[in-house]
Amino acid sequence: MGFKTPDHYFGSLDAAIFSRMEEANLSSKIDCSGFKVPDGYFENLDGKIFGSIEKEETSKIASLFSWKKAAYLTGIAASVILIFNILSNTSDELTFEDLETASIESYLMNEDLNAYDIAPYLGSNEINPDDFVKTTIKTSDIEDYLLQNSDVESLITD
Amino acid sequence: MDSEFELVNRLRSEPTKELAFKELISLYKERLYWHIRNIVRSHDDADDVLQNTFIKVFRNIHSFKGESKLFSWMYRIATNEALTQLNQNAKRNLLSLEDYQQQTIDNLKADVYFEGNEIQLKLQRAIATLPHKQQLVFNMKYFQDIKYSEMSEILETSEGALKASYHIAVRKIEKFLTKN
Repeated sequence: MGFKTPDHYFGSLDAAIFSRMEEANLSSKIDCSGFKVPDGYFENLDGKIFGSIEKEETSKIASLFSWKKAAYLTGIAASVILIFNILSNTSDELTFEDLETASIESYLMNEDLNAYDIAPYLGSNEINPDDFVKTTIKTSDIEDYLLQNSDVESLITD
Repeated sequence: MDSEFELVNRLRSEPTKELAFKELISLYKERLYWHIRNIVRSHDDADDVLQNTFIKVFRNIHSFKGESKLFSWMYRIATNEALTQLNQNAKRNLLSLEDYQQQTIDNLKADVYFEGNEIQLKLQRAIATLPHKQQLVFNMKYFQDIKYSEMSEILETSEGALKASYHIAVRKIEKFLTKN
């Protein structure tokens, strides 16, 4: 005849027929999930999605703006402190200490400093060992945590 | 495939992306919604996840490589977002994922967006006893009648494995319904 079948077709045919029968039996009892949606939900969905996108973009701009505003206001405040110190000083001479404090404050507020930048200038008497919490975590506790938290898998798979 | 290629190009181009995105939402919103709803069960959660899915698609369209169909890629994002939502809700309620799923089914009785009867509630309980991936396979085949070839692309599993998984799921569910 010239026709041919896939490999092992007839061997798996019984299983396929019985599976179809089981599915047909199930769907004769239950043909839908029972879930429903609010009226007009799909019609109004576009507006909600675009609204969320716009809201996200506006809040990104606002947070950038408020950071810049804070930096700007801090700079003004530091300048005001400096001017006030200069003007309120009864002595005719402006001392190095007056300038130093105000300019140091301004520098500290405006420069992007991290802990490593400041650490060399801290004496050991300024650091209290009690401020550092010593925590030892047992290996068995880590294992228990990993076993109980199934979404850790998402950290190690795509 | 050409029309999909053209749609992706329009989604990536600044002057045309908004209109193209509206078209994309219109094409896929219902299918994606029902896929998500079958996972999270609550309409409010499904609504959140669906919106997050479309926003992620909008933001990441440039990273879509075209190795699979656009729909498969979106479906994958929707699945991951839905599973993340479930896990987050379970943690927030200090429950295991299995216990949280049972809780969502208990809540269906009083849910205005569930019009099912006792047998449909039992079916949900039966589905919740399956391994997570098998739940996905069952929902996608039984309720959405997704072809195995499409499912294979979405779940990155062979068609043969999916067929076997589905038929095992049907058998387990039949057993559960008979026993209960």
